[in-house]
Amino acid sequence: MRTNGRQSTRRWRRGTAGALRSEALVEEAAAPACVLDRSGRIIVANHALEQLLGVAAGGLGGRTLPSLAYPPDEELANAAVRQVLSEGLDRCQVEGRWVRVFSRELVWGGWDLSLVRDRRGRPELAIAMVRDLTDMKRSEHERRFFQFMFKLIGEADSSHQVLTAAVQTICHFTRCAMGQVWLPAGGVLVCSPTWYCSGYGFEKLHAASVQVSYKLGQGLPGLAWAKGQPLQLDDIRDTGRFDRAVAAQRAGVREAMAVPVTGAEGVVAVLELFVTHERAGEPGRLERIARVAEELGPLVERRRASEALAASQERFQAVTEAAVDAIVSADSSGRLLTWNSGAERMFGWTAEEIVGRPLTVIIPARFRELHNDGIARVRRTGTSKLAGQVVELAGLRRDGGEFPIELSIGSWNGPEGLAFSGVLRDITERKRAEAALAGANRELERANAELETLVYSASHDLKSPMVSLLGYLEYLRLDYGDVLGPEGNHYLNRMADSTVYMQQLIHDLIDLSRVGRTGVEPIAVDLRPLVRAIAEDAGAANPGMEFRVGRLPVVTGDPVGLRQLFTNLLENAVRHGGRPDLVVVVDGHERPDGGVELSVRDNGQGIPAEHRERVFGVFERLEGPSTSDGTGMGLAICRKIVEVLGGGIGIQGDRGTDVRIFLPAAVTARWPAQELTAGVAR
Amino acid sequence: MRTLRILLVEDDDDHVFLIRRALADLDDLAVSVEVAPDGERALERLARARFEPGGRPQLVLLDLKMPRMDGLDVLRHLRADEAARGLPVVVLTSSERQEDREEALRHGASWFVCKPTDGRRLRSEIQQLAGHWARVTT
Repeated sequence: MRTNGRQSTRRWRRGTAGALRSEALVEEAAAPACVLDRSGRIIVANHALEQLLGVAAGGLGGRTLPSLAYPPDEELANAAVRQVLSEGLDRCQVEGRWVRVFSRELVWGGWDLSLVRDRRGRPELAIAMVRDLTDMKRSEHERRFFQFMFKLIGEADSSHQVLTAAVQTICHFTRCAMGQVWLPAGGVLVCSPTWYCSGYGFEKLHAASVQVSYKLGQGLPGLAWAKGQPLQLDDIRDTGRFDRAVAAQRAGVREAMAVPVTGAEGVVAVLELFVTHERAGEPGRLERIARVAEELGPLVERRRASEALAASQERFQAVTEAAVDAIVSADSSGRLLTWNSGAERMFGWTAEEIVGRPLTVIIPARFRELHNDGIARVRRTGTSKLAGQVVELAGLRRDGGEFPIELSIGSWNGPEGLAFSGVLRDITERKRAEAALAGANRELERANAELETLVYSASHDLKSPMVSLLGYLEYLRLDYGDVLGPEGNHYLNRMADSTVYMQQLIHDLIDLSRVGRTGVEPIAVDLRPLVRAIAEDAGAANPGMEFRVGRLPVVTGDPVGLRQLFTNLLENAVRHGGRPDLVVVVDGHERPDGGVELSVRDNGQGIPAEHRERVFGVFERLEGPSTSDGTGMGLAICRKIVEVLGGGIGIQGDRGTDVRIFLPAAVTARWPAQELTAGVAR
Repeated sequence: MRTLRILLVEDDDDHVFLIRRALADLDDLAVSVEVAPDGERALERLARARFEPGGRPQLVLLDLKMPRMDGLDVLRHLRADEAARGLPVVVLTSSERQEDREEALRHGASWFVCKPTDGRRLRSEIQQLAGHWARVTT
C-alpha cells in the first residue's frame, strides 16, 4: 500500500537532502514508521504509525518516543533514542509498550532506529521503522497468564484455593484491583472469606460483601449466577443496580464484573472483580476473564469431586477405626482387602500382616471347607447367600484361641468384581450372659417345681392337723357339750370357726400359688355361658339380688382359672356390696387395639379410691376378719389369673364397684353374634 | 347286725382315732378296724390274710401320704396281685389336689374321699362310707 502525497504528512523543518530522502522513505513505507530529528522529536510520521498509536493525522508531530511509551517502558525508549542520536550508534532496536494517545490502550511495538548522518558524518536524523507486536505480545501475555494460573491451581490444596488462586491471577493479569469468590450455598450466593486485592482500601468493600447473600437473579453476582454469563457494570456510580456502591466508591472502584464459573453440574462459583478509575475502560478485559473462567469450571468440579471422595474416605476411615467391632473387607476370592483397628484388637493380627491373606486365617479349621465352598459358590453365581444377614460363627485368634462372633456381611461390585465387607462382633460376653440366663431359667424352673412340691406338702401336711383338730372338737362337743355349759360351747364354736378360716386361708394360698402353673393347655372359653352359670348360682343363693350378664367374648385361656376369676368377683360383690337388693352387671366391649375390656360392676357401697390398689394384695381386706367372711385373697387370685393371660385388672366407679378387666387381643378369640337381650338370673 | 372288716392304712394316730370313733358309733353296723401305719405293713397284712379267709378285710381305707411306701405304691401292688384285685380300696386323704384324685383312680382306687376339715362332716362321711361298702360287700 502506498502512502505518497498524503495530506497527513507534515514537515516542520526543511532539512538536508538526506532528511528529505528519509522523509520520503517514511511516507512511502507500508509499515509504521517515522523520522526523528536530532533532539528525538518526530518530524514526520506515516499514516500506519498514526493508526497504530491512535492519533489523527499529524497528531504525532513534535512528540518524543519516551512520551509515547507506557510509563514503565519510558526509560527503555529514552535510552534507545539517546544511543542513536547522541552516541552515534548506527542501529538500535527497542521493544516496548506504548500507549495509544486517545484510547490509552496499550500496544506493543518493536522500534528499529537507524541513524542518518550529515555529510560530515555527524548524526542528523533517525528513521524509526515500527513493527506492531501487540497481537504477538498479547497472546504471549495470555499464555503466561494461563501458565501462571495453572501453576497456582496445581499448587492449590483445595477447590477453594483453586478459586482464590484464579482470582489472584486474574487480578494480576487483567489489572483488576480486587477480586472475590461467591459460592452457591443452599439457594443463595455467599461471599467466600478469602479474597485478593492490590492496593489499599478494599477491606470495607469485602466486609460489605461478606455480610450479604444473593438469591438467584439478585445483585450483580446473583444476576451472573442466574444468566450463567459474565456481566459488567461500566460505572458503578451510574446505576442503582449495584447495592454495595458506597463501599465500592470509597475504594475507588469504577467497574465491577461478575463472571460465573460453570461446570457440568452448573455454576460452581461466581468471581467478582473490581477495577479502579485509573484502570477502567480497558476493552476485552471481561472477555479475557470469561475465557479463564471457562477453563476453571471443570477444574473446580474435578477438585471438588476428589475432595468429596477424600472426605468420605476419611469419614469411613474414622468410623471404621473408631469402631469396637472388627470391620474387614475381602474380594470374591476371599482375600482380605481392609482390616481396621477393631479387627487388630479382636484377632491379634495387624493390618500390615494380614491384608492380602485369605480369610481362612481367622476361621477355625473345621469351618474352612464350608467357607471355601461358600466362596466357590459366590464366584460361580455372583451372589452370596449370607449377604445382608447376621450369622453367628466362631473366630480364630492369632494365638489359636476360638471365640464366638456375630458376623454381618454386605457385598458390593468393586473394580475387581464382587467384594464383601464384614462387621464382626465378639459375642463372648453375650454368649456367657445367655448361658447364665439359661442357667438362671433352669434354676427358676427347679425352684418352681420345688415350690409346687412345697404347696402340695403344705396342702396335705397343714390340713392334716386341722382334720384332727376339728375332729376332736366335734367329739368334745358330742361327749362333753352338756357339761361345758353355754359359754364353753361358745368357745368351742369360736375354735371351730377359726380353724375353718385357717383352712380356707391355706386353700386360697394354694390356689394363688398354682394359678398359671397348672400346665393346662389354653382353650377357647365362651365367657357368656360360663358367667351366666356362676350368676345363676349367685342369684339362687341371694334371692334379693339381681345378676345381669351382657355381651361377653370368647377368650383363649384356662377355663378353671376363668371360672374362678368370675366366681371370686361375683362373690366379692355379694359379700362387700352391703345391700340385699344389689344389682351386679357383667359385660364387655372391644378395645380399639383388638383387646377386650370386661366390667363387673355393682350398685353397692363401693371401695374408696385410696384402697382400690391395696385390695389386690394378698390377705388384704378392708374390714377385720370378724366382720365378713373371706380370706382377703380373692382379688389377688383374680389379678394373677388376669396377668397370666397378659391382661390387667383394676377398680373404677364413683357409685358402687366397677372392676375392669383388660385382656389383650392375643387371648381374645372372637365375639359371638350380637345378642340383644341381657340375661337375667335370679 | 351286719359286720364290716376294714383295713385302715393311716400313719396319723389322731386320724386313726377319729375314724375308729366314727365307725364305732354306728348303730346298725359292727365295724372291725385293723390299722396299718404304712404301706409296707398294709401289704404284709393283706398277704397274711389270704390264709385266714374269715379275717380278710372287706374294705381298705388308704391314706396317700405315708412314710416308707405311699398310698399309690400300695394301690399299684394290690392291683398287680391277682388275689387282691377285687378288694375295694377307698383312698381317704387330706390332699385336695385334683391330680392326686385322678392318679389314685387311674391306679385302681375304688373311690376317692378328701378328708373334710369340718369334724361333723368327717364323722358323717366316714359313717356313710362304711354303710355303703357294707351293703356292697356283704
